[in-house]
Amino acid sequence: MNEELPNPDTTHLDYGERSSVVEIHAAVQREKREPLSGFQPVSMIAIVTAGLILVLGGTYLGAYNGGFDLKKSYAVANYTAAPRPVIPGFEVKVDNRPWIDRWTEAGKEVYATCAACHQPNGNGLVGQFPPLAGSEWVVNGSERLGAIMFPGILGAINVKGQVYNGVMPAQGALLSDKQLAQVLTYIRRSWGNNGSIVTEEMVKVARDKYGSRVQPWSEAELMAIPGDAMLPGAEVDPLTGLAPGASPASTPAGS
Amino acid sequence: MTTDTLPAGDDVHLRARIDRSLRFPLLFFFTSAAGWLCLSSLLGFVSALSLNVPEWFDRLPALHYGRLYPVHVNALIYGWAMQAGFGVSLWLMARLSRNVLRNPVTLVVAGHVWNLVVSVGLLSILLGWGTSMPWLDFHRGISPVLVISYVSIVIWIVGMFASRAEKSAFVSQLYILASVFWFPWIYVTANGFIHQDDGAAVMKAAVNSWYISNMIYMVLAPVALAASYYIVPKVTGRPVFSYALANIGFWSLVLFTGWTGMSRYMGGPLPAWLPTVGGAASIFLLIPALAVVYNQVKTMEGKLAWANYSPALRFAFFGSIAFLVGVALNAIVSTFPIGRTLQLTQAQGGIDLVAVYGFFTMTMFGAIYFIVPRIVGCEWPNGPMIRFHFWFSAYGIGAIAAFMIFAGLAQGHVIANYTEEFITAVERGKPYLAALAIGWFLIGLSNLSFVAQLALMVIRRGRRDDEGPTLIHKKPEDYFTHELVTEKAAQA
Repeated sequence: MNEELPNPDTTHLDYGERSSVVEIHAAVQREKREPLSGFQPVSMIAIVTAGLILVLGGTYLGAYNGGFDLKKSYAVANYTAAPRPVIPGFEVKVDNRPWIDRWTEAGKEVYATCAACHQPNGNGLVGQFPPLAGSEWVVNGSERLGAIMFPGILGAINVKGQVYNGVMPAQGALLSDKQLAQVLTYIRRSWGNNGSIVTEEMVKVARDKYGSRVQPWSEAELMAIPGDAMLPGAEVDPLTGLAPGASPASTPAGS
Repeated sequence: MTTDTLPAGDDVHLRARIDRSLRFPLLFFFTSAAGWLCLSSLLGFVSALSLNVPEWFDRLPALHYGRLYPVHVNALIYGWAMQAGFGVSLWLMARLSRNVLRNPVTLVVAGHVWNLVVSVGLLSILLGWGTSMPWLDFHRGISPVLVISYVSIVIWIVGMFASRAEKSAFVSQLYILASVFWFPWIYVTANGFIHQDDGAAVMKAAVNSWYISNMIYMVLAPVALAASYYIVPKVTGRPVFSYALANIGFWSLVLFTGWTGMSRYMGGPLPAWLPTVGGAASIFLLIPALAVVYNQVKTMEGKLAWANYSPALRFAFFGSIAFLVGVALNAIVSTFPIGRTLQLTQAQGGIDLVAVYGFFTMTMFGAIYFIVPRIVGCEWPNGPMIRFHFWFSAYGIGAIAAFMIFAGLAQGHVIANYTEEFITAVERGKPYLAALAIGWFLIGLSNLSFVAQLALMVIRRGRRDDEGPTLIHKKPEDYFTHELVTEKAAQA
């Protein structure tokens, strides 16, 4: 604090500044000392007021916290959601059909890949491509059907008493588990077929089992798989797509 | 205190040295802040026009309301408010720490970078590259530079505190430190949450509202409170009424502010307790607000009439009252029974302005009126112009806030009714929002007078006579007599 003041080196003086100590600006001179803190105690009224504010805020928090539920976005009693507004041109279509209808409809879209050979009506082409409608390979056990999807078939195969000699290309690399499940369900339940539902979970089992196989199947190899073997997987309710008896609150993904 | 043991002359010399060391950085921050303030007032005026008569601005996308309004707000916050805050914080910290600012090269460089960043950011909004997140509208690439320049500026404030000569900390220093540490935290957090690509969109809006609330009450407010905690005792020559109350006011502000903000989206697809906690915290903020105002009123007790004469005291006192009003309005609008209709309307913007302009900006004016004569060595040229500045600002901000709240009341029921179209709500608010143009025009005029006076001070064309400080009104013969007589006697 006892440094020499102000700097006597006049070359560093700012504009308008004079080197005399006396010339310190009046505003600085007349100033009162830097502020201090007084030590008045906090009055009772202040404490009571603060308490009232805390009670007020706390009451509000208690009344509208919605139970601190992370999934509840309303906190008032007797809440009813407003009906969905109808805006012309922006109607939201809600698909209320059973799950199985939506599932096979998606399967039908995937079937476009197959329809080139097996035909849209599932009858194939006589002597060239085997039919799917009424085919024992399709409607019986789902494991054989699932197995065929992965490396495909090469060579003669007997379908509905007729021998077809050709190539069934592998599908596993092109289609996802879900798409395969949808298309397999579609062919097992169309054109008079009445097979069981194939789920994504079941296709995943088939992919784990046969997905690494490179060599296409021959008929003899396929016959080694029991004709009524089913791919393991939980059964689903055709109405909801969920396990039978499960709450239909949410529809499974991809339905 | 140390100063009490020193001879009076040394104390004066130390103050003079501190002020001189701060002259360039402070004038830099104050003048650039004042420039942005004028620009922001102008844009407030033009954006109000743009909302009311959009057909005038059809051909210029940059002048559409959707771009002009964010530019106006961001210029006000990052151009004016933050920079005025830098200047005032630096000066208060230097004075209270009894520390001279030495070779502040990086400080001035960072100040230039800050101005550059703000310019580029505002330009990015005008060109349509903004983020359209309120108060965070700058293009996302700008935020890292902004944080770096902020840190390089405030490191000087922290440094002066760390090496303080006066060991006991005054409450103003606590406020400034809180503000300085709060901004990087909320800015980085909000930008991180908002600009990462995954995450629920609803939460991004909620984090944005949390950011705005924290900016107001924990970045801007502490600087203004620090200034008024300094000005009031300094001008009246009294110690702060109660140290305990000041501490309660400070710590309760720190404790509650971080919880506020999300009440701006009550009833939205958020967990219901988030907005509710925000509402409760907004109510709790009444505690620090009342503590501050009570403490200051008690400090001024018996000298309240001095606010008629001292510009610094008048602006600071107006600011403190506006703080209480702003906090109270915010508490009301943050609770469900009232907020359910007022949320998402212009009302919230009006209430934010009470805090940002009525409180923060007015207090900054007071601080600048106090500081600048000390650092440039001459007095403000014209007292009546200060009076003009005060009244036009006060009426301007009062009108703007009132009309925005009225507009909110007119719009609220329409917005809350899902069968009504949004444009109906806009139309309902229009008559009131037309008045915003008038309000910003008044404020623009008052700020022109402020900038003109500030410019005269910067070029040292202020008053240089023995009349004492420039007062708002000519002092009556018997008013400061005691003060001035003793001062003259001391000087003689």
